[in-house]
Amino acid sequence: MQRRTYFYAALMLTLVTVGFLVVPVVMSVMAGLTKNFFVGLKSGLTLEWVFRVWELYQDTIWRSMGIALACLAITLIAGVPAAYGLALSKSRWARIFEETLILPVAVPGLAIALALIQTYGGFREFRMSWAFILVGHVLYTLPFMVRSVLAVLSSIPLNEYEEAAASLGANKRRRFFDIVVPNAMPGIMAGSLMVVTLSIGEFNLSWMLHTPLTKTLPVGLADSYASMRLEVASAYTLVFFIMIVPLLIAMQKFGQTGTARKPTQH
Amino acid sequence: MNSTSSQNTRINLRRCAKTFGNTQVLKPVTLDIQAGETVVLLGPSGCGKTTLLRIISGLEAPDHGSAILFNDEDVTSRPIEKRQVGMVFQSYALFPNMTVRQNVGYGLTTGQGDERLTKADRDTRIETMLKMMRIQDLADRSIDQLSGGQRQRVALARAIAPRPKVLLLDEPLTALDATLRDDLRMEINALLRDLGITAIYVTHDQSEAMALGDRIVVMSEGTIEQIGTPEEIYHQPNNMFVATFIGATNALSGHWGHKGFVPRGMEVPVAALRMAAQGGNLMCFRPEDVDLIEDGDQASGALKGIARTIAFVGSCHRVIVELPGNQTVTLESAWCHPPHPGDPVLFKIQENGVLPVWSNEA
Ligand SMILES: Nc1ncnc2c1ncn2[C@@H]1O[C@H](COP(=O)(O)OP(=O)(O)OP(=O)(O)O)[C@@H](O)[C@H]1O
Ligand SMILES: [Mg+2]
Repeated sequence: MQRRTYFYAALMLTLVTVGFLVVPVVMSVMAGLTKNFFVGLKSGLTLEWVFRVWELYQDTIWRSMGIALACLAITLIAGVPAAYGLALSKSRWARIFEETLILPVAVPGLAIALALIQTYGGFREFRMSWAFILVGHVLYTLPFMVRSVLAVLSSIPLNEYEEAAASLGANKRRRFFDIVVPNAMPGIMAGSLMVVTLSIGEFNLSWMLHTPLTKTLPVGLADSYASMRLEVASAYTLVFFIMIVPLLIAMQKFGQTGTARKPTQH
Repeated sequence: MNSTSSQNTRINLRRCAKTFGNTQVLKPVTLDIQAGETVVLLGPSGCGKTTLLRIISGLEAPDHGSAILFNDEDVTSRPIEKRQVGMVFQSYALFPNMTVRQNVGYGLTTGQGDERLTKADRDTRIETMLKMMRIQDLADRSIDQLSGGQRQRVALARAIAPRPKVLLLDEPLTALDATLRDDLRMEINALLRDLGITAIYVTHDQSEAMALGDRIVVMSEGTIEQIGTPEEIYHQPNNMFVATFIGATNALSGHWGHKGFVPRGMEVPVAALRMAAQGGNLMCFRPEDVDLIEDGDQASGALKGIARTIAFVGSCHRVIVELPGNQTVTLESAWCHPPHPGDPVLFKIQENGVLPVWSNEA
């Protein structure tokens, strides 16, 4: 009896919390789809605002996607070998370095951005291009890739696989592509999703690093909140959701299968 | 199966040593292995067997001054991927991202050695290997769908598929249960004979060593104690360590007199003089190298004791006998009427049953 009461109390609390979080999202989405938000739903539904967003801000959407993909490419090329090196290294420095990989989460994006501007702000061409934002994103997301891959590589007997492959004649390069990469795949996939998601949603760094001609999606979003009708800003949010939610769901899915697929040793 | 006949490789180790940090875990070892021979490295845990094997494979670089020769060619500075060695690990180390077939074929894709194989050549070779190890039915399975025994078969097939110059096995059976271990051991034995491949097999299990080795290298604490055929190691151990590590050994304390060995607490010698064993105050013999005296006639040089523990071990009885002077020995023999605890037991040590080892330890 008491158990039941407890269950219903917990259920209520959960529902209230979820409601509290979901209602604003729903409101925002609705705002983006109604003709006139101040009049309310009875003014009718429309896609007009979404098209307006596309017209006004599609460059930010393409740019964000471009930056996210470029960021992914760089973090893959740099991050996977780095994780591999760390997984193989037995040195104390490697362990210390691993610990410092958590730093970007702790250091505010603003600080990274300021440092970048102070150091490279003088290079005009660079400062004006979207590559400047890309560098910031890479700095911010690379550790996530490395950690994600490293976690998988540390959970398998990588050294033994390497030695076996070497005894079969595989050189360093072959071992990396035939053994390390396929076995690190769950970590690479999880890391990739995280990098793309973080890059698309990143605001702090991008806001500091952007120029009027290199706005990213979240920066454009802030801009539209400040200068556009509420309906346009809300429709913009809707577009952002449509881009980011599938990524988040994929990440969630992968997080589960990635960890469930532990190597079995008998 | 004549597929590896051209691969017969002679291996010579010249003063191979290994130092980790400040400790030399492997003292300079010199060892000559004939082409096609199976040599077993045997010794207690931590004696340096794996280290020696890894040096031969190229996974570990030996200390300065060491040299490893494959068919008189110095390979000391060659990395493992250029040495053409096949390795079988205790933990199998199969690649989980590949099927059984892909695992077995992997060594054929790396272009090691001077062989250039076409796709068709590779497929034939893989089929031959799968058939030889009787794992055709498993060919398209993934690794986590295999039992331990099956995994080790795959590992063996994978190691021999590229026709390595030498096959190196580090305790390949230790992770398996007893019956499987016996079966697979016999199979490996047959395989090594069939292939005629030079093989080095590491184990700490003496029965495995006896069954597999053309020669056994007994090691302890980073040094070689003895190199010899299983028979030599068993019947002519070099020293106390080998005598006690291989098989069961009785060590009687006493002294060597003019006429032979006189055990503590007895007056007459019980074993004839034997030059090699005349030092020290111990005399060693195997439990089965005794003659029972069951009809009660008092032959000279017989030992008399009291049976304490009797156990039937299948082929014979094992009896622990207490001798005068507070010593016990273990005897293994086919008694017609096995003694009961407390019964007197009369026996003689066989003429050549005394092991040629001596020691001053009590
Ligand atoms: N990488 C290493 N660094 C430092 N010491 C090591 C290393 N590898 C082995 N040793 C030491 O060298 C000695 C011999 O080790 P090795 O693994 O060769 O023994 P083993 O005879 O194979 O033993 P086991 O039967 O337990 O496998 C041990 O004392 C071990 O601690
Ligand atoms: Mg070992």
